[in-house]
Amino acid sequence: MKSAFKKRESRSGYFFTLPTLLIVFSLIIYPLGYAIFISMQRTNLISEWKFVGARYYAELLTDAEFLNSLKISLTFAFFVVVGNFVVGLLLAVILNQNLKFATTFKIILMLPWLLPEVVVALIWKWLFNPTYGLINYILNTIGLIDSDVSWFDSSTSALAGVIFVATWKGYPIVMIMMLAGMKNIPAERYEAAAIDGATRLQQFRHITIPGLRPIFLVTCILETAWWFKHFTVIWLMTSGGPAGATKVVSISIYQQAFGDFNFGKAAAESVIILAILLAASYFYSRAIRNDND
Amino acid sequence: MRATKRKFIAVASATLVAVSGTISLNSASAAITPSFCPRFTGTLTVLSTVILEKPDGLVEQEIADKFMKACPKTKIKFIGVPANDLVTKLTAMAIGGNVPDMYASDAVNTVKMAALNIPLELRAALGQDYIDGFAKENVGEMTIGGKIYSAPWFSIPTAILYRTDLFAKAGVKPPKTFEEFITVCKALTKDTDGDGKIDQYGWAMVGTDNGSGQGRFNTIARNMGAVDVGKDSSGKWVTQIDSPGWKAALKLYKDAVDVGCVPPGQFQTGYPEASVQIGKGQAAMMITGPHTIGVALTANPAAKGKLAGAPIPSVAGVPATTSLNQSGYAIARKSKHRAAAIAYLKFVLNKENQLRINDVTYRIPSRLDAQADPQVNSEMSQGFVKAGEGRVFSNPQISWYNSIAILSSPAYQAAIKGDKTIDQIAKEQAEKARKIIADNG
Amino acid sequence: MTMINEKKYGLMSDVKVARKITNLTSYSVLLFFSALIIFPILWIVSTSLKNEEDLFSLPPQIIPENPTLHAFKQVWIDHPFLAYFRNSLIVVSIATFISVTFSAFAAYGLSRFKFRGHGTFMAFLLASQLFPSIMLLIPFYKIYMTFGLINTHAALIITYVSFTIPFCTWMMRGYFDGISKDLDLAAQIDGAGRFRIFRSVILPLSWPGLAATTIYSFISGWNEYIFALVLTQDEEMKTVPVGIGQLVGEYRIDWAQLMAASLYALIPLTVIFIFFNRYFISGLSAGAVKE
Repeated sequence: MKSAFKKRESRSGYFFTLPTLLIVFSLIIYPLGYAIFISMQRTNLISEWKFVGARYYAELLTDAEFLNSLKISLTFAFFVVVGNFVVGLLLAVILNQNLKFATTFKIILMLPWLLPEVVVALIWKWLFNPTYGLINYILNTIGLIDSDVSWFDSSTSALAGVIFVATWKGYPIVMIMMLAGMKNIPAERYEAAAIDGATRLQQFRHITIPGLRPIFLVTCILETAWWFKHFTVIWLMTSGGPAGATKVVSISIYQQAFGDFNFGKAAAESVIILAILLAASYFYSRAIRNDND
Repeated sequence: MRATKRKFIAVASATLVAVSGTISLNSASAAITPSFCPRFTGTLTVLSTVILEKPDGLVEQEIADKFMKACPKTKIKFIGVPANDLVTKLTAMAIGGNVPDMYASDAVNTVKMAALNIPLELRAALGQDYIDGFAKENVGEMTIGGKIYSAPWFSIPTAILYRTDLFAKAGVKPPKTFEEFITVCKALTKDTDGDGKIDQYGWAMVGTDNGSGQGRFNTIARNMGAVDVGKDSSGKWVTQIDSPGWKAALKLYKDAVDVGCVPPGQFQTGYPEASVQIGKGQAAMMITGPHTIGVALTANPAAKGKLAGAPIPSVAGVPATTSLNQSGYAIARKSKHRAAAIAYLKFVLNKENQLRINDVTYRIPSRLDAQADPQVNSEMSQGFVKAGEGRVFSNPQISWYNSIAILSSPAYQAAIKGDKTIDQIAKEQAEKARKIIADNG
Repeated sequence: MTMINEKKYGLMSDVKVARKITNLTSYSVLLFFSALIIFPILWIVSTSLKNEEDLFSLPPQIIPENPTLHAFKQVWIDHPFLAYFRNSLIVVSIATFISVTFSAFAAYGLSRFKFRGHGTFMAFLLASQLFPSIMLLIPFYKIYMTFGLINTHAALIITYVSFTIPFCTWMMRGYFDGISKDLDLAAQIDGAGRFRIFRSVILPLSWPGLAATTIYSFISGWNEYIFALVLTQDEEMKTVPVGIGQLVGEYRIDWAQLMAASLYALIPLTVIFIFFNRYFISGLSAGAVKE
C-alpha cells in the first residue's frame, strides 16, 4: 500500500520535472563532460591533442597567480553579494509597504538591471574618468577636491570601484526576488504579531527573515556563483588592472582559451571553479537550513 | 514532404530563371563584365570587423558595392563582428567547422588560425608576381615558414602623432632620443589659460591594462633594444624582460608620470581617451598610428592640418623600430568559392580602392603601387610612412605569444605606482615569461 | 484587510506617529538610492543628445549646449535596429515562456514529491549555473552546428532557456515550499488530480513568484550578448545587445547612438515590468488562503 503510494508519488515527480530535466540534461551534460575531457589534454580543439592527465590541475593548484585570481574573485563576489543583499533587501522591505509613488520608485530602482552590462561599464568608467568624468568635475565644483583624482589608480580603489559598479548593476534582482518572497508570507502573521505588540523590527526579524529563507537561499547561491564568474563589467572597466589587482578568474580563463588557445588549461580552471562553487552551495544550504530548524 | 516539394519547385524555377537569364544576356554580359569578375554565381561571405567601424565600414561597403555592380552574379555578404570579439567568434566558427569564405585577419590572428589549419596558402593562390606587389614588411608578418596565410590590406605603423601647433608654440621639435622625449614632454606641459591648473600635457600615455597599452609599450621597449620574447642565436625562445632595455622602457613610463607631463589617470587612459586628448589639444603627443588622425579630427575638426607623425626615438645601436598593426584578409582553405574569393580580394587591393581607404581613414596601404602615390605621402601621414619604412618588428609567430604580451601592462602599471622597484618588477615578469616559455617552447 | 489596518492604526495614535517617522525614513532611503541610479542615467540621456564635438568637452556639459535628437533618428537608419528588436522580442518572449512554464512544473514536482534522483537533479540544475559560461560557447556552437541551428532563433531560444531555467526552478521551488501542503491535501480529498491541483490551487497563489521569474528570464535574455553574437551571422538575425555592442568600435565608440539605442532598449523591458508590477502590490496576498 505504502510502496504503491510511493511509486505514484515518484511517477508524478518525474512527470513534472521531465521537461526541464531534458532541456538541462541535453545542453549541460555534453559541455560539462567535454570540459572535463579536454581539461586533461593539451589542445587547441582542432589540430593539437595531447593527453596530459591531471597536470593542469596540479599546476593550477600550486600557481600563485591563479590562486591569487581566485582570491580576487572571491573578494569581489563576497562584497558584491553582500552589497546586493543589503541594498536589495532594504529597498524591498520599504517598497513592500506600498507607500505612495512606490511604483515609480520601483521602476527607477529597477533601471540598472535593465541596462546592458556594456553600457553600465562604459558609462561608469567615463563618470570616474579623471579628466572627462563628471564625478571629479562635480567634486571640484563644490570644492571637495582641488585637483583631479585618479579613482582607479590604486589596487584597492580599482577593486572597490568595480565592486561598486557591480553592486549598482546587481542589487535590483535581489530586490525583486525578495519582494516576490515577501508576498509568500501570510499577512495574518504580521497582523497577529502587531496585535501582540511586536515592533516593526521584531516583525522583520521573526517573520520576514524566516519567511524569506527558501528564496533567500537560492538567490544567495546563484548570486554568489554569477558574481564569482563575472567577466564583462570588470573586463570593460579595468581589464584586470592596475597591475593585476582586478584580474578575476574569468579573465584568466578567457585569456587562456581565446588568447592562447590553451583550451585544456582553461577547462581545468573552469572545473576547479565548478568544484569551489558546488562546495560553497553545499555550505550555504547547510548553514541556512540549520538555522531554520 | 510538402516542404521538400516546394523546395524542389523553388530550386527548379530558380535554375530556369538563371538559365534563361544567361541565355538572353549572354552576348551582352560577355562584353560588359570586366575580366576580373569570377565565374561564380552565388554569395561570398566575408567576416569583417572594419564593416562595423565608422567611417571605415562605409568605404568597405562601397568597395563591395562597386564589385557587385561590376560582377552582378557574385554577391558579397558581410558578417560584421566587433573587433574586440573577432577572436571569440572566429574561434567558435573554426572549431565548429563553419568558417566563412573570407575572414578579417591581422598578424596575430594569422598565426592562430594557421595553427588551426584554417587559412588557404596565398603564395600559390595569388601567384608570386602578385605577392611581390605588397610591401615586403607587410607580407612578412603574414608569412609563416615561407607560407603566406593572409593578405595585408592596410597598416597603421606606430609612431609619434603630435600637434604641430602646440610644438611650434612651445618651440620644440619631435624628440630624437628618449631623454629628449622627456624634456619635450615637460616643455609641452603647461597652464595655458593661467588659472593655476595645468590644462595641456606633453604625452597622452595609453596606460590601460589591455592590448592598446601593451602594444605601445612593446614598441617602445623594442626601440630601447629589448624584446619580450624572441629566438636567440641557437634558435631557442628567450625573453629580455629583465634586460636593461626593458627596464629603461619601464623607467620612461615612470619618469614621464613622475615629472607630471602625462594627463592624470593614465591607467584609465585607453586609446579612445588619449585620441580625444590629442584632438582637443589637451595633450601634444601620442604613441600611435595614423588612424588616430581620423579619430582625433572627429573629436575636434579644428585640429585639421595640425597633426603630423614622426618616428619613435631609439637608443644608440638600435635601429628605429615600429610595429605595423596590420589588417588583412584570409581565405578559408575549405571555401568552396576560392576563385571568387581571390577575385574579390584582388579587387579590394587594387590601387584605386587602396587609395580610397587611405583617403578616408589615413591608414597606410599595403600595396606598393598605392604607397607610391602622392596622396599617401602627404605631410600628415609622411612620418608614419617613414616609420613603416624603418625596421619593422613583428610579433613572434607563436600561438602562445599573447600570454607573454600581457605581461607588460601589469609591469608598467606597477612601475608607475612605485610600490615595487623596476628591478623587482622586471625580475618577476621575466620569471613568469620563462615559465611560459618552458611550458610551451 | 484594509479594514483591519484602519482599525488598528485608528486606535493607536502613538503608532501613527511612529509610522509617520518610518515613512519619512523610508522616503529618504528611496530618494537617496533613486538619486544614485538617476545620476548615471542622466549622463546617458545627456550623452545621447550631444553631437560628437561636445562629448569630451571640458568642463563636461551636463546639459548639452547644442542638444540634438540626431542619434535617436540616425540609429534606425545606420543599423537595422528594427530587425534587432524583432529578433530580441521573438527569441526572448518564447524563451521566457518556455523557461517559466517548464520551471514551474519542475519546481512543483520538486516541492511536492519525493523521488529517486531528487537531490541529484537539484544539484545538477545548480551545476549548470556554476560553470563559467564562456567555456560553454564552443560546445554549444558544435551542438547547434550538428543540428543546423546556427543563425536561427531556435538556437538562441534553447540557449536562453537553458541559462534561465535552473534559477527559475530553484526560485519557484522555494516559492512553492512556502505554500502550505495542506492545500494540496484538501484538494486531493475533494478528488482533484495532481495536475489540477497544480493548475487551479497552487499556480494562482504563486503569481508574485511567477512574475519575478518572468522578469528575470526576460531581462537575462534581453541583455545577453556573447552567445547572441557568436550564434547569429546575418544582420537580420542579430539581437538588440549585439546591435548595441557593435556601436563600440575598435578605435571609436559611437557614444550618442550607443546611448540612444540603450534608451530605446529600455522601453520593452519597462513595459513588461509595469505589467508584472501589479503582482508585487498587496491585495493579491495569498496569506488569507494559506493558513
